[in-house]
Amino acid sequence: MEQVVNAIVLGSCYCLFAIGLSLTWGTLNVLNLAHGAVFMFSAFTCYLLTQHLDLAIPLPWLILIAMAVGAAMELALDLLVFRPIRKRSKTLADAELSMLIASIGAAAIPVTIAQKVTIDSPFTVTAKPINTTEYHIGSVYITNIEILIVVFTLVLTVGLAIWLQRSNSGRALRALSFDAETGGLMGISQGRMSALVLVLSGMTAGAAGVFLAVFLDSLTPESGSDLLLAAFAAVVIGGVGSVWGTLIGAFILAAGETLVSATTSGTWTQAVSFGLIIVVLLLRPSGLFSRVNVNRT
Amino acid sequence: MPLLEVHDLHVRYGGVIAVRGIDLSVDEGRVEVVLGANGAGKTSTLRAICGQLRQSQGHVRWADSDISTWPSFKVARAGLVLVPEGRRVFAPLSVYENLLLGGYTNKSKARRAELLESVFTMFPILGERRKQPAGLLSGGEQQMLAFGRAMMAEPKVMLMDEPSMGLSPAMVERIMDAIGDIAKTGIGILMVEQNAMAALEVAESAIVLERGHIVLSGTADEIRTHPDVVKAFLGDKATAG
Amino acid sequence: MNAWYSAHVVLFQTTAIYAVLALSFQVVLRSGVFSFASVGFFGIGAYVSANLAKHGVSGVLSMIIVFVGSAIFGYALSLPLVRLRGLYLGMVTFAFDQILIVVANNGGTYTGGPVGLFGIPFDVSTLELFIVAAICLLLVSQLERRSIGRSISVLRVDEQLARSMGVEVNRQRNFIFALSAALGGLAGVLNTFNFSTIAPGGFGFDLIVAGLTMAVVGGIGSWLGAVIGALIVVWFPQVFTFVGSYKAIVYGVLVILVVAYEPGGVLGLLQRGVRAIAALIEKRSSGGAEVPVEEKKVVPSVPPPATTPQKGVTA
Repeated sequence: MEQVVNAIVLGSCYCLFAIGLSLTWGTLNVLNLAHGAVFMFSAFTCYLLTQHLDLAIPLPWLILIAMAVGAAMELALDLLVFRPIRKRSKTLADAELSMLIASIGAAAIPVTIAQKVTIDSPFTVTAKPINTTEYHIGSVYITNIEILIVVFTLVLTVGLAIWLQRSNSGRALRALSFDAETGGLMGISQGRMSALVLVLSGMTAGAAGVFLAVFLDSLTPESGSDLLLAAFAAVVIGGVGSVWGTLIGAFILAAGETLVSATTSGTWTQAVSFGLIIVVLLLRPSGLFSRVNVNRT
Repeated sequence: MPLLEVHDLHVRYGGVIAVRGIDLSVDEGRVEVVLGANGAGKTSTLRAICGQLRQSQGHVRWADSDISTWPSFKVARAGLVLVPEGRRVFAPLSVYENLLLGGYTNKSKARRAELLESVFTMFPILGERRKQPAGLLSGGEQQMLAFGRAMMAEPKVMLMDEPSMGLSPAMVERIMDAIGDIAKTGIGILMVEQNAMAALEVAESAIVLERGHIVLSGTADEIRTHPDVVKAFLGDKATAG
Repeated sequence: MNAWYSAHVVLFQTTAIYAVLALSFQVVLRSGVFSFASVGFFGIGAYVSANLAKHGVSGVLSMIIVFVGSAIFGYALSLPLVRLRGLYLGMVTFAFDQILIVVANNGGTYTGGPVGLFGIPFDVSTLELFIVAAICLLLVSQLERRSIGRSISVLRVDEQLARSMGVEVNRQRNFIFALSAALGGLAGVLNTFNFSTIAPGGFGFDLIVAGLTMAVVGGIGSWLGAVIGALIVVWFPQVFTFVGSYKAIVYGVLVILVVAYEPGGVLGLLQRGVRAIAALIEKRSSGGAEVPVEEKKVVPSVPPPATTPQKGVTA
């Protein structure tokens, strides 16, 4: 039973992190490999504030700070990196490759800074005062922080899905992901939409950063690229650009990983992500839950 | 002064020059048609005007501003809207959502509802199919949707690229009627067409492009009866049916 | 051998190894295949050769085994992957690199776990290292000259065009993937033999960044770009010592700048410079006649030189 709770909390963190990756990929054709670095650095900022500066910051504030850091980083990434590339590229494929490469370049910056400061060792985030309360439901133990993580994720995911489906800008985003050029004819600014998506993506990555740091007790500067692997799996299972799919994909992955780590020794859990990615891509490249595959060249 | 004025427009792709010095103007409620063979520079002209392509030389004036360097979304917001070649409806989105996107820049909900009503009055079929994905509509219906979507932006001038492409003769007639109806609401239209005969029926004036130059211009009647035009466009069209 | 050379011999060796890795990155990126698998094959080559050396297999044989083995493995891997397009391929190959680190961490005595393997008997002299690197450069440069090289460049610019020209796109991709794998594996072997040690951290995220920096900053247009890239990545921290351990940041920034503003890389910049000077000289000698704008052949992604229209300028 304990494992089920773990899987649900872990799945929530995966979902939070993966949703930004899925949205940027699905709507902007950007596979943002700096997403992991943003996630890590948001948590890292909280680590600096709480451990180095010894500030007593309550958890809600830490979450907000991390979200702000993540949003600022990805906004900078969009304005300074993706926008110039998009402007100069002649073809979509050219732009995709250039942005993919540039995002790896960009990831090197925060990762290196964190490695230097922590001297390549794990760091933790401790919110003060953290009032961990345990609840017993039957034979299940669950802490208030775990509940917060799950509720936060569910509210955010549902909110995002409704926003995409119902709101003006959500609709514009879906139009843009289908045909950006025609979207421009409707008066939709690709630049503003791109900035909006990356800010959203940075906020969710930031929240995921604090949550995972608190839940797992420690992160390393390289945690970002480990988590990317998990996010790839969640995104691929759910279908690129699908909010609900990402949620389901994240939980499937977390369940698989929890099962593997409970039954095997060693650190093979990451192999679960890889295996899922390969199997899904070979059998159903459009994802398990995607609807009609709208093919674009 | 005309609403849209294009002066000495040049467009080049790398080494290839597609448009070499075009002047034209469009005014409210008037239909102007651009004729010419494939590769004469018709589509490039439209795309340069609406900001999808950057011209290498020349100016585009809109009302009181020089919009030569504006990106396409900004041009659209100013009231100059392109209905692109091949309709380009958002296939996975519903007809209703496509129309709402057309009115994306219109912030007033009430105004959007009014516009939606007028589009459904003009094209009742869109109202009947409002919940269907746009990709399931027939070619002619998609063209109507593309018109309706553009009208949701309350444009002053609409640019239309090959609205009759791939449609049956009966549908071409309906589409041309629709274009006439749109012009009657006061919207100026600049239309590129292969189907010269049909287009000249609704147009007031026309220009003929050849290799990026304007070789002829005049009223629709003048162009229709001009011997070169008869030979080049209408002749084979007429014999083909 | 003078003292300066012996003091810097490691840098020369690293340059040779990195040039091979850069080639591995370059051949895939140039043909528009979004693959980061080079680093994974680097790891495979490094560990396989370490284990072979333990069993007394000679250096040359070990290189051949890894080169051929990686090519076959790469080819086999490309068969299912070739259906994937663009970003999916980028994602899978990135995941491939990541999972190999997990394997290395859990490989028991074959990989030495997180600590890695060290004290591997090395069997390659600096001269041999250079010969191997030179052979690889020759191989890739010859490939570029033949029609296959040209069709590969077309593949990057326009897949439809390549298809219509009769290029068998998928077979080309498979071949490129295999070649890249072989080069990556070979770079790993050279690395093991030269430094006699390998650990999971040796082919992680940092190596992906370094590999991309070399390929992209040098210029993906030609093999020369790989050499320039390797020289930059290896010697830059040496010349600018203040960069120190923050060099990855410099690489990151360089990659972004090049990709966003100068897609031809340093090589493209040099080529443009040479062309501009040549044009200037020609203009002088012919009294300012119209300068023909040379179509870019080698570097498909370089925008045409920004010459002002020469309309009406005659002698």
